Amino acid sequence: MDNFFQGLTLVLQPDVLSVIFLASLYGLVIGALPGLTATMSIALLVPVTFFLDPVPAIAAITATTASAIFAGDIPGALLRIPGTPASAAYAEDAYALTVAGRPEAALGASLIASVAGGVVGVILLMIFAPALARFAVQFSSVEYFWLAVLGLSCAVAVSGDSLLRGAISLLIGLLISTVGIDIATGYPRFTFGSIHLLSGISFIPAMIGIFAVSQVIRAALARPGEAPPPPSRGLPDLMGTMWRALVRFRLTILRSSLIGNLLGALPGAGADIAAWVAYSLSRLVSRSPGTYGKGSEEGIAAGGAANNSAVAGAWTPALVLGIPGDSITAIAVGVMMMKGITPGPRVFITDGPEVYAIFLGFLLANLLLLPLGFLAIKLARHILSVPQAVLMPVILMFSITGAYAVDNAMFAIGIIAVLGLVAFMMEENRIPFAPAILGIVLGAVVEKNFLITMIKTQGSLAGFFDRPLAAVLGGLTLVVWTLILARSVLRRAPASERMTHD
Amino acid sequence: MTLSPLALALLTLAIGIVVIGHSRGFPLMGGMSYGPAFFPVLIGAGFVLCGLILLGQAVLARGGPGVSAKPRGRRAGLRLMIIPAVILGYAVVSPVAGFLPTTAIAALVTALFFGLRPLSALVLAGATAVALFVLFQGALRVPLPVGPLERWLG
Repeated sequence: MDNFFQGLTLVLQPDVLSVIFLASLYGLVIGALPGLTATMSIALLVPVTFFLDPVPAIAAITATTASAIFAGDIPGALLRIPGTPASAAYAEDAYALTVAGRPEAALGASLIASVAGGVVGVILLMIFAPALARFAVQFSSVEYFWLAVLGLSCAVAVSGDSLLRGAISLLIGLLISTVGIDIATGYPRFTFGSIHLLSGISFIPAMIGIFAVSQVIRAALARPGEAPPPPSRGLPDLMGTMWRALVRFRLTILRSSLIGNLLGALPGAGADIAAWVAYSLSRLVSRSPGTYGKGSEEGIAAGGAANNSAVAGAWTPALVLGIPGDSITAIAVGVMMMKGITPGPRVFITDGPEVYAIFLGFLLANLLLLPLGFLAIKLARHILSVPQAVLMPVILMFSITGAYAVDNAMFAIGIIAVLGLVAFMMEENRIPFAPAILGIVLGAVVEKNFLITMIKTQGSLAGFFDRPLAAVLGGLTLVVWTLILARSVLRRAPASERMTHD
Repeated sequence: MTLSPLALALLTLAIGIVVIGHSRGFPLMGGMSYGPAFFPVLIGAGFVLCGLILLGQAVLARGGPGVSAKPRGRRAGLRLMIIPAVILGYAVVSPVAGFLPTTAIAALVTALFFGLRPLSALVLAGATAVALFVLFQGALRVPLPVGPLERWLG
């Protein structure tokens, strides 16, 4: 409880509160713009957080994520273009309601479900993270090795229509993670004589290149075509619609929040998948499954609650084990390390007040989403009418300045150009990003814990299954691999269903 | 810039072979058969394996309906390189010219390329440069590239 109140004091500082407010506004705008994802908003934000204190820095990330994931629903409902991939599951329903002349029903259900899902998600995070931490204190290098391998395996397993392409993405990430001085012997690997590469490829410029610059390159290649103007109808009685949706769908929202939180906490899954699963499950148990896909408010509530709850769930393994569940927490883990908060089971002991401050800031951001999201819906027409020709130069210059600011070196600018091109080529060839990001973050974790274990067991591979916990985790990893292989053999020909989802 | 299945397979294979070849030069850890080369070789082998599977798929799919690259129109290569060129140009010019002019010019070029009208592009470029300068140098106290203009501003 001590940590809780100290955390509360840390959050209730004017600078932290204003950072949360500004980050929420920023997340709403970026999330609402089609093509700009929540992950990209975080990648662009990181150079700014770099120069803040730890608590406001992490609070900025959580607030931006929470609001960006919700805001992705706005263009989904008004234009049928989900602003972030996490909104794709129910964009069809939301747009159907807009076409039927009831955009306020779609956006009201989505906002109230997002707020409720986010709040439930953070509360679950506050319950589960300390419990997991107490359990995880007994983990040794073998368990961490297996956890990281398990995370990477799951990332490939859920990465989309082609497992092979997921695997290639992972290998690209792992390869990037090996650049620089090797942890065991200090030998410089893949540095080609450059002193700039000795400490590895800088993480923040890499994220900016992969998530922001690649999108600018993509836009430059596409023929300039403006998005259709959003319907110019007002949104009557938005507030009333929201409360009615909360009362009507309270069970759906609660169930989806629980599922979303759990899926978010699983390595590799994340908000996108959480929304799909909760939406499908809700249809299964619904009294009116026929309306799904044709404007089901229930479906919107299910998906909207699940993705916001998943965002909080992803923080559990990231914070307690240092194993991020998705690209956003992967970036967040990187930021925490730079800020001197080392994620791990001991984080509650070493940085207790800070961790609770992060939780409370997260909770506050979700509550703040109610008024700010309301405002964003009302102003949606103006946000959506910003042309690409204005947006892209600003994003590009922000990317360049941010990369330079963090490393204070022109070399970082080279990294965003090269990785921007690499990421663009990956996207063009349907190679997903998520496994690569987890590879970059977890590559060193896998290698370090492998080598430590090998030294401890004097080179015996049996040591990886000696401890009961390690054996369970190792067995689980082998099960995931078997499933991956079985699936790729079984469904050789039709790769249709999932593809449309990704 | 979608690659043909064969080209993707060969590229993946080539990456694997280069990584393995390069890693063979790494030293071993004293008294152990695992060293700095162990993981890179494993990663390289993964690339080779994926490349071989892709190659098999590409060969098997021959004669079937080929996946043709998306038509991007003429000068797609030029359009692809414009953003990397702006970024690299920035890295070369900004240490000499300073942050404000370089940022404004780079933003102007990009905005014009995306089809913004010249006057709007000029306003946007100036506003972007000043806003970023105020945010990073002013509020966050990050040193940005210094040129004559920045020196004059103090």
